[in-house]
Amino acid sequence: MGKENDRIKPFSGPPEETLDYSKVEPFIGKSSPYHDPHDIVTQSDIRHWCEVMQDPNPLYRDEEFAGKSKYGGIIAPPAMVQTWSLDDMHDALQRFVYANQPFKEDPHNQLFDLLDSEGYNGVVATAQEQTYLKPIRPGDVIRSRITVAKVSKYDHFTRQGIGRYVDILYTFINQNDEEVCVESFRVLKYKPPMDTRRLYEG
Amino acid sequence: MNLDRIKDLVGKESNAMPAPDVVSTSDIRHWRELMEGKKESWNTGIAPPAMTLVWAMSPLWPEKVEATEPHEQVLKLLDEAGYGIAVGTGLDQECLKPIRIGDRLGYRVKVVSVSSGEEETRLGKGYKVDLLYTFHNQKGEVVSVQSYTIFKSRMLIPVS
Repeated sequence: MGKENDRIKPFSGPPEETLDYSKVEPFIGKSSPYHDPHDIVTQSDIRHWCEVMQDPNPLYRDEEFAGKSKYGGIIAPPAMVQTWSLDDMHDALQRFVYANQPFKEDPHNQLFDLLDSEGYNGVVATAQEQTYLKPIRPGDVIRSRITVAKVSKYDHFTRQGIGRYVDILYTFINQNDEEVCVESFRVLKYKPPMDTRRLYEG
Repeated sequence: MNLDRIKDLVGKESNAMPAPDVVSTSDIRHWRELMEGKKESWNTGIAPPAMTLVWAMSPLWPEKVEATEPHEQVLKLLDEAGYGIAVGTGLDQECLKPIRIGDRLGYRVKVVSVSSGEEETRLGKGYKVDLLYTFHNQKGEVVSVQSYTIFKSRMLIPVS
């Protein structure tokens, strides 16, 4: 009897350390400065996007049609808003290949660094919602900032592993400081399960 | 293959075709990022001359199906005869005037010559097509002349 019980071992690993919410709290509600785009909004970038998405809407290409519409001229596809603030090639390579984030001092980047160091180093985007406030037109200069809106107070148990949801808020403004779009973006920062972690750590 | 129809097209020039877009800072940046790496400023006022052919690139979608211009017809006739593989084998560029941001370019393509018979190469048997591109800007000034050679071959290019 005793021998049988010896075989059934309880979970023997040390209890997982969990994140202290007070470390996260200072980042909540903090915004990055507005970052400048690399380019103005151009007709050719709109065309490239429409071709890849196979979007035939004449509002985005036909001057005559768009002029008669309620917008009074060509507009950029609203869903394209994030395109105007994308990294250039150099920054994109640094970010995705060399894990070297641009704008390290921005609150959301510091928050992600903190979560990484606490073991929540997996990331998956779970929701995105955009609200369009004003049309974007060729020639506009779209600047953007990121605000940390919310972080889960407690751990969530998900299929991906133990994690915390992080809500960040994008604000896009044009050259006249008018808000053109607000976007909420939710990511799950999670601790990869043990078997996956072993794969990473060797 | 109907070689006579191809011979009829040699020496013919296309109508003036407009570039899909005006010369823009963003397209110049995309090109220079790939070719030159990180720069403090991308805006130099003029487009890199080596980029000229880019402004004449046709849209990805919707695909142009009908071959209306002489050079398109030559390539289509070769396609139909089974020479479906195209390899660019030579490009000479002569840049006559600077291309500035905001310019609206147009271009014409002339079929200069087509091989009189099948040529045998490492890429298989095929035909060489020599084209001449003439670029002009919105004022009608010729900005660049480029000769472009395409080899249309029957065989797939070996991978290794």
